[in-house]
Amino acid sequence: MNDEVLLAARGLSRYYGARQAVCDVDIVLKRGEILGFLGQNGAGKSTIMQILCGALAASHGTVEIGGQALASAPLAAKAQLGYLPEIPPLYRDMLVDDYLSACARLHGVRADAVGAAVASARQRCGLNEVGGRLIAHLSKGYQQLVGIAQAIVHDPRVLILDEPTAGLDPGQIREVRELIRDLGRERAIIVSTHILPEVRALATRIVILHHGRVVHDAPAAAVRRLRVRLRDDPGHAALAALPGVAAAQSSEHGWMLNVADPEAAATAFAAHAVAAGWGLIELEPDYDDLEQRFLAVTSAADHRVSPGVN
Amino acid sequence: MSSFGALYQLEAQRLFRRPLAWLVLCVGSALMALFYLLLMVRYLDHEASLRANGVTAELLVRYFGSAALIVLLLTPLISMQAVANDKRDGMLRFLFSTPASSADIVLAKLAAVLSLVALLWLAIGLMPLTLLWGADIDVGVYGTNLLGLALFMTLHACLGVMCSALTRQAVAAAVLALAVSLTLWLAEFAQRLDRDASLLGSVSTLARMRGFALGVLNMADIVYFVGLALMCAVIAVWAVEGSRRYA
Repeated sequence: MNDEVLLAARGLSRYYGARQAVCDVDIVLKRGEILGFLGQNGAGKSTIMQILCGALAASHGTVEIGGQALASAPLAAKAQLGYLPEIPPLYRDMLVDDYLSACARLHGVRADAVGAAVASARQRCGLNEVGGRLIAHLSKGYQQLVGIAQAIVHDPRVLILDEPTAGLDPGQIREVRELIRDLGRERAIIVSTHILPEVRALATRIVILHHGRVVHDAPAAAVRRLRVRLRDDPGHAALAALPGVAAAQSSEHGWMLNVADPEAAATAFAAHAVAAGWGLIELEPDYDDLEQRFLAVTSAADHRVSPGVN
Repeated sequence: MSSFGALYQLEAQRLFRRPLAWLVLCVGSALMALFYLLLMVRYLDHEASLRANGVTAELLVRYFGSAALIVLLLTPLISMQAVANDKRDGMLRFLFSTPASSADIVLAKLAAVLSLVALLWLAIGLMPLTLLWGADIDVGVYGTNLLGLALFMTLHACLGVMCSALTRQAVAAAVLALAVSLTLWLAEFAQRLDRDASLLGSVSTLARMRGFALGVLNMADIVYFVGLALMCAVIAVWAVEGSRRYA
C-alpha cells in the first residue's frame, strides 16, 4: 500500500426533501485499501456510493477521484471509476460480449483495445463460456458476474462494489473474493455488504455507517482477535508479551488476544503454548468481534440520538 | 470514441434489436403502401375530374398528408422506451456513473430514435418516386413535402424522447406523446371555433405543414419545427439531469 489518495470525499450530505439521508460524511481511500462499508438497511450506504460515483448529486460536499473533482471534471473523474450497483446494471436484451464491449467504449477504452479489455474482464470473472449468450438467458449468479465484469472492463483505479457476491454460489463467491483481493493491491476499492465474514475476508479498513453518519472508521486489523483457553494460566504479562499480540484481556472463558494477523498469530501461539506447557485447550480466531463491534457502535449511536428523537 | 458515439452505438444496437422497432417500420411502410394504392386507384377511377388538379396535388400531396398522420401515431411507439425504461430499471443511474453527461445520454438516445425514424422517412419518401414511370410530378413540391415530413418526424421524435424522459413508464410516455402530438395537430381546429385564438393556429403542426404540402418553403415554418424540436430536447436533458440531482 502507498499513500496515493485515489478517492477523497469530504463533508458529504444528501437530503431527500426534508429528510437527511447522509450527514457530513468523510471518506478518504488510498491505493491498496479495500474499504468494508457496513451499515443497517437504510443507513445511507447506497446513497453514499451513488454520490461517490456521480450517479446522484450530493446536497453538500465534494468528491475527488484520482485527483479529479467530480463536480468540475466529471468525465475525467468517472473514467477512473468502476461501479457495481446493488442490482447489476444489465441490458438483458444484449449478448454478454456486446454489452461488455459497449461498457468498455463508454468508459473511454480505445477502439483497438476493446477486444482485449473484454477478453480480460471475461476471463477474470469466469465468463469465457457465456460470452456469446444473451444476458437474459443467464442465471442470477452469472448476471452478477457480468455486472462485476462491466465494472472492471476499463481497468479503473477506483472500484465501488455494492453487494458484489449476491446471488453467487460458494465457488463463485470464493473466486470473486480472490478477484477483489487481487484488484485491491493496485486500486482503491469500496465493498458494501451485509455479510460480515465477507468484510473480514476482504477489507483492510472498516467503516460503519448509521443514520447517514460514520460511527466507526478503523483498520480491519484492529478488530481481529484470538480466543484462547489454557489449563495453566500464564498470566496477563506473559500473554501480552508474546510476539504478534498487541493486547490481552481476560474473558469469561479464558483470554482474548488482540492480534494483527489471526492466522499467523494462532500458529505462533499454539507452538509457544505447547513449548511452554500451558496446556492448550481452546484456540480460535474471534470472528464474532466484528459483529459485536457493529452492534455496539450502532446501538451506541442510537443512544446518542435518542434524546433528540424523544 | 466519445461518450456520445459510444452511447449512440449502444442505443442504436439495442433499438434495432427490438422486434417492436421493425414492426413499427413494417406497419408504417405497409400502411403507407395501402394509402398510396388507394389514392392511385381513386385517381385512376376519377381521372377525368381530378386531372385538372394534377397528379401532384391529388396524389402526392394527399399521400404526404396521410404520412404525417401515420408518423404522428407511430413515433411514440419508437420513442417511448428511450429513457423511461432506463429510469425504471436503474440503468440511468449506471449511465450517470460513466463518463457521459446528461446531454450525451439524451442526444445519443434521440439520435438512435432518429435513425429508425429516418428509415421510415426513407421508405415513405421513396414510394411516390414510382409515379415518375407514368406521370409528371412537380419535383419541387415533392422536395418540400419530403423536407416537411423530415421536420415533422424530427419534432415528433424529440417530443417522444422528452415524454419518455418525464416518466418511468414507457406506455405512459407513449400516451403523453400522443396526447401532445394530437393537441398540436388539432390546435388549428380550435382556432376555427374561436377566431380570436390566432396563437393556436400558429402552433398547429397541421397548419405549419400546409406550406410544405403546397410547395412553399416558409422560413417561419422551418424555425417553428426546429425550435420546438430543440425545446423538447432541452427539456429532456433537463429532466434527465433533474433525476440525478433531485431524485
